Amino acid sequence: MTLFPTCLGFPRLGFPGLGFILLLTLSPALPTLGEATGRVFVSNEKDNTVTVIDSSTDTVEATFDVGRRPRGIGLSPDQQVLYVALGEDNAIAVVDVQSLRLLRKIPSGSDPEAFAVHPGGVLYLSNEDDRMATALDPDSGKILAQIQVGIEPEGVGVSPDGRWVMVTSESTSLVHVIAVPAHTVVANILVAPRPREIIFAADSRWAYVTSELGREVSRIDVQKLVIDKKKKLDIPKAKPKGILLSQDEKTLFISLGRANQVAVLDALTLEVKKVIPVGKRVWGLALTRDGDRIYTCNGVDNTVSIIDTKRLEVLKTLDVGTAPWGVVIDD
Amino acid sequence: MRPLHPALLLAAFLASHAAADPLHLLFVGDDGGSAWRGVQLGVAEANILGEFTGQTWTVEALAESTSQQDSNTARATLAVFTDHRDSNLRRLADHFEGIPVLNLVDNQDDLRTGCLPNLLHMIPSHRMKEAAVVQWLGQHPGKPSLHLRALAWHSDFVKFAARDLNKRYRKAHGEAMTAEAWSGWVAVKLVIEAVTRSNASSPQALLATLHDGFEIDGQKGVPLSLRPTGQLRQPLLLVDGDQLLGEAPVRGAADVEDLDSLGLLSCSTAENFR
Repeated sequence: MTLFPTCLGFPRLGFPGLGFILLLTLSPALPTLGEATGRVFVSNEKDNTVTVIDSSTDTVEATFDVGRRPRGIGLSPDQQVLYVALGEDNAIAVVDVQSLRLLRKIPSGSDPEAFAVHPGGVLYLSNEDDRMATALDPDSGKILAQIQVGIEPEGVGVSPDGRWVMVTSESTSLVHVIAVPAHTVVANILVAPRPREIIFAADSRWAYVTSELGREVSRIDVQKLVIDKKKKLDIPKAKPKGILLSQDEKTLFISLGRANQVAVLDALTLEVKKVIPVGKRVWGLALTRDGDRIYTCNGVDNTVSIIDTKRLEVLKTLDVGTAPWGVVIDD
Repeated sequence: MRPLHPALLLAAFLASHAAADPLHLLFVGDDGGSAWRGVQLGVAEANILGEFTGQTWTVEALAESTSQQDSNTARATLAVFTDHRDSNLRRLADHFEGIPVLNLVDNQDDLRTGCLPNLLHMIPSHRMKEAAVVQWLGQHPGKPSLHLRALAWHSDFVKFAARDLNKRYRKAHGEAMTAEAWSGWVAVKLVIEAVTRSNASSPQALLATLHDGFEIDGQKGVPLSLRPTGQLRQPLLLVDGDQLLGEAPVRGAADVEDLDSLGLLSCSTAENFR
């Protein structure tokens, strides 16, 4: 078995090698690890496919049919399978990352759009029509819980320590904080209009939320469950959507939708340092494990831009399927 | 596994929020009309937000504002929504002086230029609608259809979460969401968001907040706020017959986010109302 110090069945974090050895000793029930494929998977909302990019060459390797209206995309904790939310099939597709074979489709409730994968393997997804967040066990296909949230649930984030799931409701502009495994809503935080996505810092101490119409980014103190800091992005036409922390967590990258740029912010002060022009209607973002590159989904150009995070510029642009929405990297 | 009973959550939030009393709104006009149905959806959604923030909203519908009801109603209400027009509308605004009165259906330009400080207009003015059509024709030359017009809303509009709003309205009322229904819905949203976010607890404070550039998401893709005339600045939809063609400000004719490129009027009186 090839050892990848960071592939531990936990969300993508940079654990040091010693930590890995300790965990291996203390946790005999770790899932089986295989070698990561280095593949970048992109969901194409309007042609029902997934594009596969080989990150070692940054070329398109394959495209496969996945189901109707694919949007949210993610990997299982052991990175053996890819999950894709199929809005018009009301299901989550499960695809083998090595063979690219569609293994099964798990019924998920109405119109799944976005989801996050808990370190324990459960999928948390938002059901737009029902005002629900659903906890779905992908192995049994059982719905473990349905939690009532606000109007138009969308973004889902899971804390790396597995204690919290946060769900945005776009029309009521709330971040709903759900305790795991109790599945109770413990806080509802009002943010600027139309919150879209949430990410957590590696230590689970902070969460960051983008507000598309409010044109803001907010940082949430996860201990106190309040907004710690918020800032309006003073960039014309900015429609903040996707959000990432750099590997050293000093920088935030935010996709700006129809502003056709990725904003680069100081993660502490939330000040904009730079904007990087990419393709049209940029939404989904993913960071390589080494932190060196970001792949962006340009939904109107049908391309993916590859950004060098040191030079803060686009290295390459690739043609993918129609209306690329989300992206995840198996590395 | 069920979540905590909503009553427990509500109790927790009421404990942490100063205002636990219901917040009152008033509709004056036709309770068979689509503007009222839009208001009703707005209030239902305000109460969904209220489940999480510890607020309760009520709305009363009156055909007229009679002198007997007036003093009690006026004392209690934070804002008035109405599908009255012309002189009835002006009378209502006079009567509820200091309280926001939101015009849901009357397009007349002179209501805007009159700049009554408490009269706010959700529906677009004639001038705005004309400007939208002119922008459209400027970029789409050829023989214009006799049925080309600009509307605040259309039930086929799907961008910017419009699809979701259209679905919610149809689910609530079993019919397509009209421009007047959207006007009623957005009026409520404007009021309740301003109260919730700015903690405005009086109609006067609410009015000041609204006139100070307060922005909301009207599910048309660009933040909406009031112009100095009290008109809600907003994108408009170009429609031919019943077919949705596109949006204004029209790309190529104007910056799509330059909402004041659509028929901006100014106050015709010299007096400063602010």
